Amino acid sequence: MKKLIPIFISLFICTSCGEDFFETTLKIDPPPHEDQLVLHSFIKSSDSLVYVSLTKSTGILETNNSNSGAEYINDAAVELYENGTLKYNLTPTGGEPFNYKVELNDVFGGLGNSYEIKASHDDLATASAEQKMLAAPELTSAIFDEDGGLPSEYDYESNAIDILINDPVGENFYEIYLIFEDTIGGVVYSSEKSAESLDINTSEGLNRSILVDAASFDGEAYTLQIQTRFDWGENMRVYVRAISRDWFLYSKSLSDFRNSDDLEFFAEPVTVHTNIQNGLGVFAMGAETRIRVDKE
Amino acid sequence: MKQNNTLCRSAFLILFSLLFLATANAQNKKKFTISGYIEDATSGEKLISANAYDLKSENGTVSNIYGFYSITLPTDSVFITFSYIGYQSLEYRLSLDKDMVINVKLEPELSLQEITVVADKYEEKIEETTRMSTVDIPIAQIKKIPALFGEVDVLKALQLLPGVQSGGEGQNGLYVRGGSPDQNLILLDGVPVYNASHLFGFFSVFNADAVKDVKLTKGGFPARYGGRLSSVIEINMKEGNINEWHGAGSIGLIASKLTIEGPIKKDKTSIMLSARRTYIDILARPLIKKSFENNGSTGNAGYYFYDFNGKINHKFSDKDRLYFSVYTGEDKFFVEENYSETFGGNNSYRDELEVGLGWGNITSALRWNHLWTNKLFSNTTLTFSRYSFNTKIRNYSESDSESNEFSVGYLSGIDDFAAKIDFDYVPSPNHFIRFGAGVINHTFKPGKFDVLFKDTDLGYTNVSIDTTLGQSNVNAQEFSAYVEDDMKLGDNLKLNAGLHLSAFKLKDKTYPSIQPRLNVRYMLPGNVALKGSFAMMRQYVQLLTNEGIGLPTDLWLPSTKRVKPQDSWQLGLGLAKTFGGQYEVTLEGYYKEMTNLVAYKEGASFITLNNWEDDVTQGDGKSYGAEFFVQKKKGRLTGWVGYTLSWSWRTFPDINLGERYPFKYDRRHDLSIVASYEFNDRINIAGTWIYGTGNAVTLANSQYESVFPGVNFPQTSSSGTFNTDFYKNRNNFRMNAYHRMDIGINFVKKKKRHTRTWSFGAYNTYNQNNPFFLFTGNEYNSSTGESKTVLKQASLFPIIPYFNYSFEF
Repeated sequence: MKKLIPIFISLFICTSCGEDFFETTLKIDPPPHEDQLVLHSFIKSSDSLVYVSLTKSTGILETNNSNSGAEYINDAAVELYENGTLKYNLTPTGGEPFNYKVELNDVFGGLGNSYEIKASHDDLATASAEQKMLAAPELTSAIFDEDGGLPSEYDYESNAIDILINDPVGENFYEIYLIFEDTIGGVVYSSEKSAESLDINTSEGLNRSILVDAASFDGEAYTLQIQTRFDWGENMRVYVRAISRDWFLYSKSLSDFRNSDDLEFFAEPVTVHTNIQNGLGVFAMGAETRIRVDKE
Repeated sequence: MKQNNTLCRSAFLILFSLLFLATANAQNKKKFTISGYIEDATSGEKLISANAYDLKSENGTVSNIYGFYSITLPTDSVFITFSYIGYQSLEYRLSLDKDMVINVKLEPELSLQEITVVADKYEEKIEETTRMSTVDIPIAQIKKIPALFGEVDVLKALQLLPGVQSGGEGQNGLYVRGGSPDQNLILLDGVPVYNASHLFGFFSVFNADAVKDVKLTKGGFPARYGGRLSSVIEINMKEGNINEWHGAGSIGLIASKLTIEGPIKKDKTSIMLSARRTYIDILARPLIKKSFENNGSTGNAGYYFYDFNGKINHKFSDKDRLYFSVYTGEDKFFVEENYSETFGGNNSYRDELEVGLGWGNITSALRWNHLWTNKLFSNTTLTFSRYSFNTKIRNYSESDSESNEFSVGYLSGIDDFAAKIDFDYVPSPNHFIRFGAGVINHTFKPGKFDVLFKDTDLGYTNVSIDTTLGQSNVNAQEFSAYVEDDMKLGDNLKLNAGLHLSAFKLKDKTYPSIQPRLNVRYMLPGNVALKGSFAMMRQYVQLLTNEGIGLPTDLWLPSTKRVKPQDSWQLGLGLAKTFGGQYEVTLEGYYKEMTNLVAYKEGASFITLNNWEDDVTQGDGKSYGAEFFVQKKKGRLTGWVGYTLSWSWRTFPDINLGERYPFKYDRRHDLSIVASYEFNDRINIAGTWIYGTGNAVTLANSQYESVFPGVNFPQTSSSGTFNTDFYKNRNNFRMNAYHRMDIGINFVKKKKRHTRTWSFGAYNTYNQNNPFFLFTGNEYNSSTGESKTVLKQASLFPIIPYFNYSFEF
């Protein structure tokens, strides 16, 4: 036995002196990928311009040579159909990120109509999506309540704005922005301000928006409270948009994805919503109502 | 809901009918009771599940976890045999005409004695019992299994059983039948242990030298168990040798252990004390100090963990015994650095840095065993369990004119105070009734930050931040009561039926629950047992953790008004048979559904400061599969082969767009082979080989640029873009399969006053690159001068040899 001990200890020392003792790496094959068209378009009933962004997806290990990080597709056919009939052909703009557009003579309108967008390209599968144009939300008031919000975790005072929404029967989603308008030299400049809501029907969306799922107050008048640290101003407005389920999911999931991006390894992965058949991105429609905020 | 009520009402009716039958049956004939304790003759340790069997009437019973047994037989001459695996049987022929107390002391068999199957020697075989989905591994077997750095690990031994899966490489988390680690109730002497990990999960908190036995129940839960969905792991500490003083110790690569046990008063009071500590911090201290000095500062840094187990028990009489056991263990990581300099003559600068990270458990239990009658035994327990995690970072710098201080402290954890009473009532050999009740007061500490930011300039002090962030402590009460009867209905049919009732109260919200349990065994021809089980379970506490490395930031949280309790029901069906008296073979299928499971929402992380209820979502889980297990507990060759074929799914409305996805530890195939062979009483060899399908992980399939228009788009051109990874599905990619072989050899030598053992072995003997995590990295091609992004797998442990010296006296 005594003779064996030095042998075992020598073996131990010899085998444990590798350069990467605790870490070795191995190259493995990534998940399979097929290039797809990526289409983004959001049309409001009040818009007189329709824009589409059309790019291409790449594999996770591929690096493209584009400066912007996306491969723009400028030689596709992009068509918008209304109730099954071709209504608009969009043409390349040469710009980014929206590289296709069509200018309208009037606002888009189209309440209750169905729309389908199609993007065709010789080398990629045709991408398409359908949406319906929604009615603008019915709002009755937006009242400012100074110090009406709950103090934040840093004990800052918080103001509240109570927005009364008349929700029609059926599945409805809303997107709310708090906007400050300044008139300089006769021109109105607007900027969105951060606001949040503790209402359980809300979640965070893109561009500092508050997303609302109206399922719990379907068909009822509902007062939704948002909170902001900004003081009351004469030129304060809320923009409330009726949005489709697809935009609701896209805005929420992309917002979550952006927020978690800094946390990298520690955050749960986020699947960004898409409603594009044979492709990625989102095609969505909505209608907006703007209402001035009054002081209580 | 209506269906549930009907189910529960039916279960009540069936149970009470059976209990009535039990009592009625017991009163038919004149009978007397033989009762007592069964213990190890040399140490006095109580033997759990030892057999008492009357060969004449062919009736038997087993001892409970305190070694107590009771068997009631008709007036007659009886031929009763007491047996336990690894011990010599004892037989008594007597004429039973009054109640009798027989305390039995069984002598251990010589370890290498080949077992010969004696016709009249009775041992309860796996096909005899109603229990299914339950495995106990002898601690002696666990100690032989080769281990990482030679550090014997109870939980890692359980990972080698079918239906139990490990998490990542080297981790001790247990994933039982598609459940998550927080669904395992880990009981150390009956006290829940909330964090069973040392060193980020590479070692468990259980010191094998202090452990007496380990039992895992992964399905077919009897009514006495509750509070978790997936498994119950019972680990009992040694009681301490009541006859003579003994000790054991070891010196290993990373830790050393010492255990002593013996009588304070012979045959009355015994004590067991055991401690373990790592010492890499002590060995590395000179090097670390030197490293600080090289940087022009002074300081120290290190990491260590320790465990202490203690148990004292006192026998007041044959009717009353008292036990007190305690466990405390802690992990500590620390850095202390001081830097100072003088410049420009009289100017000076000083900087202090302190970083501390600590986490650990304290558990204690006070138990009173009382024998009310020779048929009624009770155990009353008061317990305390605490898990806490705290961290502190402090930086102080000072110059001649100003000073700055910044500190952040974080504290989270859970405290439990509990009281419980359990009764064992054995009215006849055909019935073993257990009933009891308990209450737990939980105090959840969901995480609190103390932040201080202070600076002093020219005598003026400015405190920028001095606040406490986070959530206040939450108190909740958990109540439970149960009744179960292990009954024999005829020659072939046995069943264990019971009800577990529980309730959870947090503020003004109360969640009640009725959970029926049933285990049935029917003996088929050829002594093949057909077994079935049904169990409903409920869980009121959950662990919020990342599913990767076992970080100590684990946060135990209660069910609330918003976060509902987790529920499950599980169905099992199986066959069991012992071949040749030595090979226990079981084949089991199971189906389990779980509701209100808790998971982080997409994008959420445990390192954010949000209210935890905002960060979680609830959904459902489903798992099903088949397990094959062959175990040999006796002879020169011992060990087992376990194979599991399984599926495990999750469905959460807020994850994966509401579509079903595979659980991270969905593992189609899992195979483990464990064997140890004793050449003689001086040399034994042991080896394990495991294979498992690769873990499911989420990897992006493609990347693209997301676009979102600004508020006033298209009137103004403001819009944003964001590079986005597209995940086709959650857990869409499989890591490579995991397989590993460990081999160890033990050289035992009996010296004059002690026995010493040299152990040598190697973890991952054939140096397999097993997956730990995946990452993307760059690969440079020197011939083309180009670099490209590639996907890589990091592996943690190559072949790791170990040696260990241990002794017993």
